[in-house]
Amino acid sequence: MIRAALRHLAGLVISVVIVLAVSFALMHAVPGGPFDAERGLHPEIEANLARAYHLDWPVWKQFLQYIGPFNLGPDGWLGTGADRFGGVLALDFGPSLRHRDYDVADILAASLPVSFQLGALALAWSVPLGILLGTLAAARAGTWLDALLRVLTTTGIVLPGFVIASLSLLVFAFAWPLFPVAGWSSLRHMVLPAFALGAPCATYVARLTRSGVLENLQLDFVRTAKGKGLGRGAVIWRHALRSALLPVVAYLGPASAAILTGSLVVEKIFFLPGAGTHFVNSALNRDYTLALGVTLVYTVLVFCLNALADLLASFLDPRVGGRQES
Amino acid sequence: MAASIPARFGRRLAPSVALLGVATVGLLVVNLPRLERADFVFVNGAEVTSLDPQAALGVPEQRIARALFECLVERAPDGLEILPAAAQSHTQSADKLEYRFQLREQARWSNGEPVLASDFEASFRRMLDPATQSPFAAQLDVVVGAKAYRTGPALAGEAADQAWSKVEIRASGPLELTMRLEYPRVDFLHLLACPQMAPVHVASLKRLQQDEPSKWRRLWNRPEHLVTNGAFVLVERRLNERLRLARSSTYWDSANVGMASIDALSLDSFGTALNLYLTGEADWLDGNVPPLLVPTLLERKDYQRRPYLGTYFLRVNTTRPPWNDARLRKALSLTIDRRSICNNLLRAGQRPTWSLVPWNMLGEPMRETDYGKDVVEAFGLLREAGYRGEGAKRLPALEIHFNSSEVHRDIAEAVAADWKKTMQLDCVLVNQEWKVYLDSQKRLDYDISRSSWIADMPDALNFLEIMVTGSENNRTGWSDPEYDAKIEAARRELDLQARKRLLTEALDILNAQTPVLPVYAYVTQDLMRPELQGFSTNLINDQNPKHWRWKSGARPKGQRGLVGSSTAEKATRPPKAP
Amino acid sequence: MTGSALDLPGGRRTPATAARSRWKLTEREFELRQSAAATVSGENPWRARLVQLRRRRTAWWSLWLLGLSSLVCLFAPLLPLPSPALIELRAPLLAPIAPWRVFGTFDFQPEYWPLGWLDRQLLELRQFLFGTWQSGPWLGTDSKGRDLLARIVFGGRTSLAVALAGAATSLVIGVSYGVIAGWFGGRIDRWMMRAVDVLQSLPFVFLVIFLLTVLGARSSSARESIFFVVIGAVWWLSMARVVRGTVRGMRSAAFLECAQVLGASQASSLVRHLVPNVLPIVIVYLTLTIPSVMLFESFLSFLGLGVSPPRVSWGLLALEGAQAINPLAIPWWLVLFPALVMGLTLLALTMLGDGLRDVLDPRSQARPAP
Repeated sequence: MIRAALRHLAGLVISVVIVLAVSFALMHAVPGGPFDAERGLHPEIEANLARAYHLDWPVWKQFLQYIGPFNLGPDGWLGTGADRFGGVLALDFGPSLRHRDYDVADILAASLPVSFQLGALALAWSVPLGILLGTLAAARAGTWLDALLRVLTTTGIVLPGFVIASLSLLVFAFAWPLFPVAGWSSLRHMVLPAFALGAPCATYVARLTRSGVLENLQLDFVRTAKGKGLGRGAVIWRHALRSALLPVVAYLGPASAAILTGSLVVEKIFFLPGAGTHFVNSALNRDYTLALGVTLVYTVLVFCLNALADLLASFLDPRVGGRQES
Repeated sequence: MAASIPARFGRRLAPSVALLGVATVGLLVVNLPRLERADFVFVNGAEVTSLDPQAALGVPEQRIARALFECLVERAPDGLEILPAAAQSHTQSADKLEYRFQLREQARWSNGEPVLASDFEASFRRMLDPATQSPFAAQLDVVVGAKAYRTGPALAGEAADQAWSKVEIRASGPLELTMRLEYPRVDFLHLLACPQMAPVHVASLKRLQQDEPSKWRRLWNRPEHLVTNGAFVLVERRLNERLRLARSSTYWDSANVGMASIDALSLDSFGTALNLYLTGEADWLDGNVPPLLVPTLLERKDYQRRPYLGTYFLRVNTTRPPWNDARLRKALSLTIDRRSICNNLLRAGQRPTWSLVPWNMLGEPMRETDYGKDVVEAFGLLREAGYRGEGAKRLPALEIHFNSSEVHRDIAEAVAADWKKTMQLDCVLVNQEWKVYLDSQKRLDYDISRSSWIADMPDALNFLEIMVTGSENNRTGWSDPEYDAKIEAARRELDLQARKRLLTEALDILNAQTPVLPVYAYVTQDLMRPELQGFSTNLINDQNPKHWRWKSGARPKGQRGLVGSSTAEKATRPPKAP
Repeated sequence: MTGSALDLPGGRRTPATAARSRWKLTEREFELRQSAAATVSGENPWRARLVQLRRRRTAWWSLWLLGLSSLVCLFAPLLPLPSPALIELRAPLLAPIAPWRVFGTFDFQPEYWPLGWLDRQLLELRQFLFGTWQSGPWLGTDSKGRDLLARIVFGGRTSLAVALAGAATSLVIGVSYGVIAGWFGGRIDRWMMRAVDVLQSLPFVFLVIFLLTVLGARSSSARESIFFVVIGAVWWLSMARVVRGTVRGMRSAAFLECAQVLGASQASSLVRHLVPNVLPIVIVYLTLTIPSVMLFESFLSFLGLGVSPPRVSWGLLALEGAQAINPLAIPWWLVLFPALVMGLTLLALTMLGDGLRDVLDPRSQARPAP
């Protein structure tokens, strides 16, 4: 048990380092720098800025400095005294290059809770509803209910988040003012964003569940259960649904990571100070440190949630984990 | 085993869902931020880069710097006249080289300390110090010794003091600041009125640097550490959400500050900003109204437009043949149907312009505009250059670069259509991500690249300066020694008429050579509560939040943006209790 | 590697009986299974499947609809539509005008972006056939006075091409990757999935900018092909994950043992039996992938990383439409029609996917279509 956990942890660290290294190389290979602006900077000032953020170093050295745990000096080796430690391994993600009054850690600490709250809320309504609707559609496959749900889910998949968000704003904030248009200060502010964020997820889950349940209805153990005289409802809910959720769980691993880290579009439309904005804007601003910071968070989250998904999968279907022992 | 698990799962599904629900609610209850509505809320655009006035690059940063800090002098609401601010008076020597500023006795920093001339000296020194990396440091090059100091090595201790002693910015008394210039400039006071020339409290900054050697940079712009001398103090700062400012009790003129509190929202999406405005959550928003919406807004009384000193233009890469031929560039310029772009595409009153200097600032006569005639003239130029008529060469396809934005794309499309129609010139539109676009412009890796320039002083020189050889804003590869000489002469010219003549001559050179294709002159577009007073209407949209006030003394209650339209009643909700 | 193989040394138990005893199959069920497996590996099952598909009304119609819309998009320059690129600033934002009120006009101007050879021929044919006649603004015009119908038709080319690219990579790379990882399990699975995690975690904006700029896409057609590669490269990841999850669940399912009853080797059982059995979920997931690929395309185009104007795509049209919506003015046609066309196409795709799923599902062979 402990060995397995350690192995997982080692895998995580290796993945993180690989992701960071590749991202680092990518972002330094991309044209444009953090201080480029429409109003050009004097060359000397640009050089000053580059020096202050070590951008004049070779990329490998910048990367070593970023990873840490030791600060590198200007002429090659370690800094001294209190400045000796730095970099990710010393839990220092560096200063943001765009938000000059903040460290990356400050930015993450301010924006991630918002995204987590919203994402959790979105998942909390969309996953159960998706499973419910998907199972319902499978149980009534071929009927008008199935057709209706199919149209509904297709709509949910086709309509991009921003269309859902804009339309729900028009309806529920202007035409019928139930909710505030934007902002982040009460539960009522979260309803519409959580709806817009969760809607695509709900439709995905519904579609995956439907197909999974339909398939499992033809499997042996389900037939056996039927044969034992269980009612159709019980068969579906207690037997077919179980392993039908495997693809759903596989989908939810990365999808929930994406939902929990927020979405640029939803945050923009509803004026939320979440982390989704940073994923895109840090790249567009060439804010290298912030981009690496959010990438790091995302990697860890994807890894953990996928591990969780695998765990859940082997729990849902004991055959899944069986092969590893042989 | 196979039979027990499904049953177990059925029982377990419910608790895990419930657990998730409880966790969610728990998360939600924790840490719900609440703030009362501010007296005045405005949409400030993208999150400010920094509160440090010496780094205040963009319009959002400059507005905040104006509110928090006070310069030696300020611009009058009309933007042209210079009024006393932190300095209650100032004198110039007869040769216009030496300026003396008398500071106010009653002026205080927000920590209660008096605002002294030495604070200004220390602040200017900080600005020029290479370690500060201020993008504006070069603007003070006109001061004796400033350039040598800012380009010299970063020094410390005694050596630094020695180097500084050669710079002629001096506290000649506790409340008297003296500055000496290398050559006289008519616009020096205007320069000092810019927000980047505001002082910071260097003493508290140094203290913080000592206490927190590694973290001071992010700590000193926190409400608890930031010491300011302006009409407002920073109360709260939420990244990507808002800045809360409150009237400063230590400000010398605090009795005349209109708003008790101001919220600056960090929001750059017009749609969301409009939603906030229409529901009364914001009182002012300005900036990029999507052209689609302009006709609708034109019917509203609270939508206001004024001329704005900004020019939208296209850069031509003059290093790429055949576009190194000025005649061809001129032909490109003449065949842009600017009137159509302004009237049909932008529609908010933007003015077609054929010169880089917008709104006839130099008093030059209005250009006669007849697109048909222009096209004929362009054909003449093409024929001269051998690209029209018998045995004409074929113009190579052009790449038009622009950064991703609907308006830029529309204009590029319209221009491409004009060129295709008149000159059978094939254009490829290249939509580039912002930094890639800047990078290719900087490296002269383009044919045509969209650009704009917004003045930070109401002065034609501000526009013409960018095209000087070697300027980091030139980015066209164009260079003309005669032009450079005229600009340099205008910089040093004290006589306003002679200066204007020099600038006009420079402009004529620029127009003849056409390294840039001007398209239109900007207008400001504001959506603003009609009850707001003290709003400056100058050409550079320089707002001083100190003067903003509500007509009746307090924010009108229940004010909703939809008032007057038929849907108003439906959309009106009771105002949130303060 | 299967349980039956482990049992073999016992001598008397064959894989078939092992599987039978393991799944506690009755004699009758066992026979059924064997015959089902025989059907799968039998001769030319595709003809039978086509017949089956034709029997499913909705799926068959969906197939026709998709084929038709692809044809329309492919031969777009041939249709007597107004130019999708011609900016008519004097007539912006026209609300839709019904065909019976303005059927068409005679002022077609052939204004396009640089067209390929085939498109130029089609355009000439169109001018030969229809002259300057063009349809009226049946679906209204956008803010630049461009005909929305024409833009939707031409936008379909981008969207369908993107969908094809995404679907192809998902199918080829995603499915094989997922099957291999899920089938072998253990260490291979762990490392392969870790690689997917890594790829999924890379900041995609940088990835896209990198691929577009560093690979030196100067011409817009090169840009576009790189763009399709980028989209494909990003999109097989989640497919791989889903397939792998399903394969893991199936590894020891009865039909595989049945395949071994018939003496199939591991590799051939992988290809011939596992892959078809994964197909249902693959098809369903594909019908989910294609819409998100289209939306991803519009997002990238919006950021300036996608198709160059004046080319459009459905997603981009819908996005522009959504941006045009606000409480003061609602040009509904700008969002309704692109979304409707996209929705109908994707609905048809879903229906077809469901039909295909049923037809391709080897287990459903034994029973009649519902």
